[in-house]
Amino acid sequence: MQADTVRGHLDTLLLAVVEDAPTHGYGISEELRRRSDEALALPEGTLYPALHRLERQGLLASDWETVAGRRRRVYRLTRKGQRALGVKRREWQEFVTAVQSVLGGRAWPEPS
Amino acid sequence: MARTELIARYLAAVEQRLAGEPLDRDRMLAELAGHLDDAIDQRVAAGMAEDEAVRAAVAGLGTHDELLAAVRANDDEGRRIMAFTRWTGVAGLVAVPLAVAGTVAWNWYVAMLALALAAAAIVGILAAHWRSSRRFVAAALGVCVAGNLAAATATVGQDSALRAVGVPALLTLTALLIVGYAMLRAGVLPTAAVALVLVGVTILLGVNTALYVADREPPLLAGLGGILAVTGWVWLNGALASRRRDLHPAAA
Repeated sequence: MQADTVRGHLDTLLLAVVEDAPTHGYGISEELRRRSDEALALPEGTLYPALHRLERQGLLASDWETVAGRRRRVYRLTRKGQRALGVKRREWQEFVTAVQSVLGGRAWPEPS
Repeated sequence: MARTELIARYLAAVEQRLAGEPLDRDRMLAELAGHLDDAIDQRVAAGMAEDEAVRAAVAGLGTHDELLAAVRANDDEGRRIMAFTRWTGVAGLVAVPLAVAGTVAWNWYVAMLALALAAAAIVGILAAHWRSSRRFVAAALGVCVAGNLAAATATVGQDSALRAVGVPALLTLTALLIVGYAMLRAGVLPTAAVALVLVGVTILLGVNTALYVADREPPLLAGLGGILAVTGWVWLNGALASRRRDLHPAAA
């Protein structure tokens, strides 16, 4: 998938990954890759500026913690982040429904 | 090459590339270093040779340009400051004709108004510097020093009233012309607005000089010129809004 396409939904994806458990940056990138079956691949370094922005916006909080014997910045979802994620999920569902309605029920061509 | 040396080299290059960017550099570098450690360990555990694992982990982080673009795209505070700087830049441009008029008319109030607007412009420039680029403040400070020296030299032997008004007004004028040029180059101000103000300055200078030589009162016209410049800017600001862009093209 194109990196630009992923970037448009990056905030939602990051909030969703952190929702289940507090995670550090590398864990977040791995979880993104795993859940999407490698389809969502961004340059991993570009996640950090987005994480920092979400923290400035109060949607994430972070602290230095020791993970597997190493010092890592661990991110967790705030209450405000939970509310924002709920809104983004609804918006996404509405978007998918609307696009699906337009595209119709045709079978998708098999990738060659 | 040892793993730690490769990581240190990569992080040094990142640090150099992000110099001048508004971010907590130490935190970013510490997180990237931790990320690389984890990524390398996982690859080595999967059977990859360590050198190859280091190269793959570094490649996975993305290029320096991609990282820089991400930093800028996520700098929402920086964008707000750029908007503030843009408007204080407008104040600075308006100060130019006022400074010229105040100097030519020897009008203390007009010169003071020009100085107040110029002060707003300098604050905006300093804010932009604090969060973004060192070039603006370097230009402003350099020109302030040079302008002050030039103005003081040019008014040696003149009476005290001229020195009191003329020195700060000339200082303002020279500083803002250079800073305005720098902002124009950076894409903060649209060309047409700058051209309008420069044309206004030229007309004001001519009219005021002619009136002064004819021994008539020019301050009213000077004030009128200032209002004209502001009105013109407001109109152009709306008309050209889509042509403006932030200092950071990647964030546009």
